[in-house]
Order: sequence, then structure tokens, then C-alpha cells
Amino acid sequence: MEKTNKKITSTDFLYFALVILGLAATVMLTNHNMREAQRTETAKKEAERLAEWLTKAGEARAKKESSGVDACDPPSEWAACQEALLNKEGPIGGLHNVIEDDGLIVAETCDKEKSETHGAYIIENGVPPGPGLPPAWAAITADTKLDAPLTLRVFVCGRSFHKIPVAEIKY
Amino acid sequence: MSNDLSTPSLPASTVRAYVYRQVFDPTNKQGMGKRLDGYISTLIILNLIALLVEQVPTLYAKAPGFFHIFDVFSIIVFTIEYVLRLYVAPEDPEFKGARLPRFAYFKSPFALIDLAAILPFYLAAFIQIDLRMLRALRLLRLFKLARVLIPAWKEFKELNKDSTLRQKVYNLLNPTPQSGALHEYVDLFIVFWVLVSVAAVILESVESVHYVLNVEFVLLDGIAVAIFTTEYILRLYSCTENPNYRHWVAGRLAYARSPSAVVDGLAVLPFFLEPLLHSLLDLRFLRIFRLLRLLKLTRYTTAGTTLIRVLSREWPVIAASTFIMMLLVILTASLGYLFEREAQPEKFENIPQSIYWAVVTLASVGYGDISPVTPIGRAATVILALVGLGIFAVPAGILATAFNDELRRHRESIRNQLLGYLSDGVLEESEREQLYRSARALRLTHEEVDLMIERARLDAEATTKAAQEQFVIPYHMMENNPSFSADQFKQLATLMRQVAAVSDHSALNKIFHDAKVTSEHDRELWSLVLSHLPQK
Repeated sequence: MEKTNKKITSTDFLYFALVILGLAATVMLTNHNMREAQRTETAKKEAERLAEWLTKAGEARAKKESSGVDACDPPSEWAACQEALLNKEGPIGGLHNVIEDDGLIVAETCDKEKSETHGAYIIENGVPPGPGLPPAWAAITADTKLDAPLTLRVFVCGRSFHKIPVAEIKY
Repeated sequence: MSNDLSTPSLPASTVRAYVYRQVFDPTNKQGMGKRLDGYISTLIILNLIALLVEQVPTLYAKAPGFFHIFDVFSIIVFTIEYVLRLYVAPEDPEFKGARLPRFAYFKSPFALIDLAAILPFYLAAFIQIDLRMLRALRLLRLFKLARVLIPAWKEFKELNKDSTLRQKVYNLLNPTPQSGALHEYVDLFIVFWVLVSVAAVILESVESVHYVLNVEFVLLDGIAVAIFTTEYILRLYSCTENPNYRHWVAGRLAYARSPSAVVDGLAVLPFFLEPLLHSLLDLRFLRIFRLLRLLKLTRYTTAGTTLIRVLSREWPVIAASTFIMMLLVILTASLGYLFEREAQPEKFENIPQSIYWAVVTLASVGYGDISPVTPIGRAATVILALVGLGIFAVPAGILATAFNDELRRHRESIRNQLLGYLSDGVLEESEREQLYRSARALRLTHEEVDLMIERARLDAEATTKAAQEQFVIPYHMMENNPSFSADQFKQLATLMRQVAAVSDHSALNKIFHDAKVTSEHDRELWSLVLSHLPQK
């Protein structure tokens, strides 16, 4: 190999500065991604808490007992139950969007056209289209009656507006 | 030879010397020292992975027993290694001069590291140590890698003592005569991270795994990108050491356009694009692009270049068979459309739609979602499917033969290299190492190279024997034919002078002065021949 001057040149410095810049950018982005991933984890935990309460309430309802929240017992509608759940004084201490402070708490879809849906909880209701067929899933509507058992799916609207499935429950 | 039939017991020092030479002597290329270093290093890396996995409670909870057994197994191996090294310390040139060689070894830095790697495990049996502290202490095992890394670093420094910083970086990242073992470790490190990051991308697609390990995957990706970005910039910086990219700007631009650099760039690009595109694109789409990191491995294998070489060599034949395949597909699709359109208009609506059925039928995949129902359609399918079987198999056969030919060429190139080395009649250790390196690059095993060397040795022996047989002196003709005898004598004298002229005199002198090899007369004759040679 050709032997040359062993002194460190300005090109050497430039490229080592580039390496440091590349590493700094990677660390910054990883830090940002980690924070977002941790917020998503918190959102998932919150959604799990919601799913757990709904499961227990569903079990109580199956035994003809009260869930502890009148608005979530028959013959109420989902809108009233949701309002009670979002209330800070409610059974799960109030849900909030942990990813986007200004975002929706509960959304119908995870839609990249609507940035406020990022971090929102999505609750889908499965309606069997016929006997033996798998349920057709759609966001639970405000007027859904709570007098019959429901099959629900809980999601979190994650990064890049991707629905993260958290739980499927009987309520 | 001794007539005593009882098995003689080997003195302890002989056993110790044998163990040292076979297991730990770094100068013994035939020993298992290098392999053992490889196994121990792998075990250390696996320990690190196990330690990281244990930090994820959901994963650890699935098989705590497995992690414990693995830990115990590792400790047993490391302990055996430590004890053996302590046992053979008096044979190690570094410590044999000391008054207490084993104690000298015991207090050497490497031995202290080895001890630190195993001691916490044994101490935990007697002292109550917090589990988290115990796990943290297990990180000390990582320092055992110093045993292979520090000598490699010293070798690299020695090899590059006259190199510039850029040359050093180039030698570290590329195989050159100044690269040494450190380059191999850098390669292994990058390959390891390529495999880890690709495995992470694959596992991320499993929703249940991603759900549990979301944060860990983000961290892994960050580390992998940091490594690959540094590698990319350093390769771009040092590429001007390559004669093909000599110019400091144009050379680097040319390098940046080379396939391997493009692959390196694509391996990290999705990470930097994510923050810009996450609101526009589904990130899962970008994450799939991270699988391109697998292409980075093409730098470390000849598979890619072999495939390109095979395809370019067989291109005319492959093109011809592809052309026939296309003809057959279009013919089959047209016949399917002709015979089946009326019976199944929704499936054979037009010829382009029928092409799917034609390919599935001719390639003998036969999903069965579309099939002919008319008698004539079925009859035509029988004939076309049989023809298709043969035609579609042609490219596979061509490629298989071409790959076989390529392997034969690789063997021939190694054999030619071997014959080149053997032109002086000796295969030196460095030449043997070079042969192994070339063979590794061409995906040939050491056993194959050893077989070639053995065959070359046998060929050389056969050639020598044949030459000796040619050199039979016809004594029976000399008895009554003095002029013939004189001719023969002159030939022999010429031969002796030639042998003396081309040989290394000092080496031959040494041999001739060994009374076991030569007689007094031989030595006298040799001196006489030497004295009549012209001075060099």
C-alpha cells in the first residue's frame, strides 16, 4: 500500500465530524422514537385497563348484577357509558390521550387525514352478519344499546396511524 | 524399541505441554486454539444476548429454567477454560520464566478478567447478592472478548504502523494484506448486527411479539442504524484508498453509486425517513425496506457475484428457453380463452386473465382456483401441461449445471494457485493460509484444499519416480564399450555440475556434512565438483 503523510488532514476531520453528526442524529431519532414507543406503551396499558374494566362489567352483567356504573348497565346506550368512563370521577379514573395531549380520547377510526386521532382509543363492535359467519367489525356507535352482550375490540391508534390491537372482550 | 508391553504413563509435564500446544498455543496453526477462541467468543455473545433477553420480564417468564441452565452451562465452560489455562501456565512462554508461573498467570490481566467472569456465580452460593447486581456482574463476561480483541488490535497496529489514518480505516473495513484478524472481527460484528436487525424486522411483523417488545425493537433498530451509519460514512471516507475510487470527490461519488454502497445507504435510509414520512406512509411499509439490510451480507459472500456470473454466462440459453416459455404461456392462455370462455366467462374473460391460469398450469403449481371444464379444454390442458413440465424445467437445469461449472472453476482456480505455490517444490505455511483464505472466499472447505494438496503431493511423487525410472544407467552396455562408458560418465559429470550450480551451496554443505546422510567419498566428490564451479 502506498505510504503517505501520517498527519491527520482536514478531510479526516471532516469525515469524523460526519460520523459524529450521523451518530448524534441517530441518537436523537432513537431517543424520539423511544419516547414515542414509551408513550404508546402507556396508551396500551390504559387501553388494557379499559378492557379489563369492560370485561369485569360484562361478567357482572352476565350474572344480572350491576357493573357499578349505572350508565353502563342496561338499558343505557354506549354514549352514556363512554361519557362515564371518560369522566375523571368514573370507574377507571378517566381515560386520556397519552400520545397527543390535544388529540381525541376515543375515535371511530385511525385516520391519517385526521391528525387528532393519533393516540386515540378505538372501540369496535363485532356484529355477526349471520349464523356461523365471523363478525363484521365497525366502530361502536353512540346509540348502541347495552341490553344485549357485545363483542368488543379495543385498539390504540399508534404511530403512522396504525391500529394497535389491545384486547377482544365480551361485554 | 522397548519390549515392555505395559502402557507407559506420560509424565505430567508432557500431558501439560500437549494440552498447551493443542488447546492454547497461538503459534500452533494445527491446534484447536483458534477454534476454541471462536467457540468461547460465541458463548460470550450468547451470554450477552441471554442477559439482554432476561431484562424483558415477559420473555424471561416464559422459560426461566432455560436461562438458568444456560448460565450454569456457560459457567462450567468458562471455569474449565480458566482451570486449564492455570494448569498449563508453566508451558506458556509468557509465564514459564517466572518463579511461580501459575501465580504469575493468576495475576495477569486476562486471568483476572476470566476470574471476574465466573466468580460472582460462585460467590452467590455463599453470599446473598441482589439478582439485579448479579446480572450486572455478568456483563463482566464481555471483557473476556479482550483475549481475542487485544492481540488482534496489536497485530493490526503492527501491520499498519506506517499507514495513514485513512489507510487504517480502509484496512479495517476491507480485506487487504494489512487487515489482519481485527478486520475479520469487524466483519463478524457487522454480520451479527445485520442478522439481529433482520430478525427484529421479521419478528416485528408478528403482532403479539411487537406488542410486547415495541420499545426493545426501537432500541435495537437505533443501535443497528448507529453501527451501519458509521460504517457507511467510514467506507465513503476511506474508499479513495481503493485504486478504482482514487479521486477524492469523483472517486467517492463513484463509490456511492456502487451496488454495495447503495445497499449500505438503503439499509439506514428508512430510519432517517421515518420522522419525515410517518404521517404520510404506513411505517410498516418503510420497515419492510429494512430487510434490505440482508443484502449487506452480499459483501461477505460470493453468492451474489456467482449468481450474476452464472446468469451472464448462460444468458443466451436462458433467454432462448424464456422465449419458448413465453410462447407456450401465450399459446396455452389463448387456447384456454378459446375453449373455456363460453363455459366460464368470469374466469376466462380475456387472454390476459387466462395467462394466470396458463402459468399456474404450465409451472405445475395447480392452485385449482381456475380449471378447465369443457372436454376439449381439458384435453388441451393435458397435452400443454405435459409439454410445460419439460419446458419450465429447462432454466432450472441450466442454472444447476452452470452453478456446478462455477464450482468446478473455483476448484480449478485454487488448484492453479496451489500449483503456482508448489513450483518451488515447497508449500509454506503462509501459502497454505493464503490457499485457505482463497478457498473460503470461493465457498470451498479446508478439507477440499487439504485433498488438493495431498493430490498434488502424490502427483509430485509420481513425477519424481518416473524421472528416476528414466534415469536408469545401462551398465550391461558399458562392459565392452569404453566410448559409451565415457559418454555416460561425461553425462553424469555434467549432471553433477548442473545440480551443484542450481543448488543452495550452504544448505547442501550442511546436508553433506551429516555423516548419516553421506559417505566420505560423497563429500569428497561434492567438494571436487564445487571447486570446479565458476564463482557466482
